[in-house]
Amino acid sequence: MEDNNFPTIIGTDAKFKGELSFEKGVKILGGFEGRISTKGQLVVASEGKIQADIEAGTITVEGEINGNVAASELIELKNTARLQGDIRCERLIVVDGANFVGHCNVGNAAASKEASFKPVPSPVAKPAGPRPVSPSPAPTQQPSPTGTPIPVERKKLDL
Amino acid sequence: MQQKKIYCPYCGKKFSVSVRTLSIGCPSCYKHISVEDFTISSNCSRNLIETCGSVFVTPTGSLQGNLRVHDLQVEGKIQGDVRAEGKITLASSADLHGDITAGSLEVSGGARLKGFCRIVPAAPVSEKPSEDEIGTE
Repeated sequence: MEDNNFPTIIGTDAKFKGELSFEKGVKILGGFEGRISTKGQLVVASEGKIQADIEAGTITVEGEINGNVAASELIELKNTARLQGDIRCERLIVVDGANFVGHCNVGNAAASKEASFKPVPSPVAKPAGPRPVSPSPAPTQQPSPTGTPIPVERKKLDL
Repeated sequence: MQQKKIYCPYCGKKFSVSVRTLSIGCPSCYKHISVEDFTISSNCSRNLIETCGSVFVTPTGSLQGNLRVHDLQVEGKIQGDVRAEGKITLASSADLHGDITAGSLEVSGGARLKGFCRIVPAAPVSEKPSEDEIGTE
């Protein structure tokens, strides 16, 4: 995997804590804690240690991840991978030697649920104003033969 | 005669058997072990299918039940828990709904998998000399 494909690299001696969001590839060789969101490719090198929830297009794991992982395309766990958390993707490869424990949801339906990455925060929407209420017609009651108002029956719901 | 190595699912003893073996008694715990390979090509409902061999579910196959096998190749449907000492391979037409425990896993594009997964590679077992080789037909 050439580093040219990864405009963002977190080096082996770096430790990052927070929320990362990128369009292109991310390669992590150090430590990361928080949340990762990218539409591109994420590679966790063998020295990488991540404690985060991850959303990406393609995820290749050679290191350690503790958190939920979601990919719109492929998740690949190499032989040195150690993943503890839930997986959601369209395609999954777990090679000999990889270690994975968690819930798995693989398939078209799973990927489409995940497909929408967390959107960029939009301006706070204005609360809707009061809805115009059209005056409802006054209930008309048919006068009973005896002149007394007819009681309205309420159905009892069996829950 | 060709031999293959199997693990007893009860005591973990590793020993060799002939590739033509269908079943055998474990030389360590003496329990009966099925070694044959199964192919499921139609609708099948079993509480548990247990073998030290492989199971292949064809695209027309559908299994409701649990599996305890060495290797599993799925091109059809499985609804149940699977425990494989070796590899589980899901082809593009596969649909597996249940918990999985295996040494390795490969899920092709288009396959559906839902359940708790525990993929833990088997610890290497030191090979013993030929004293454990048993051939039975």
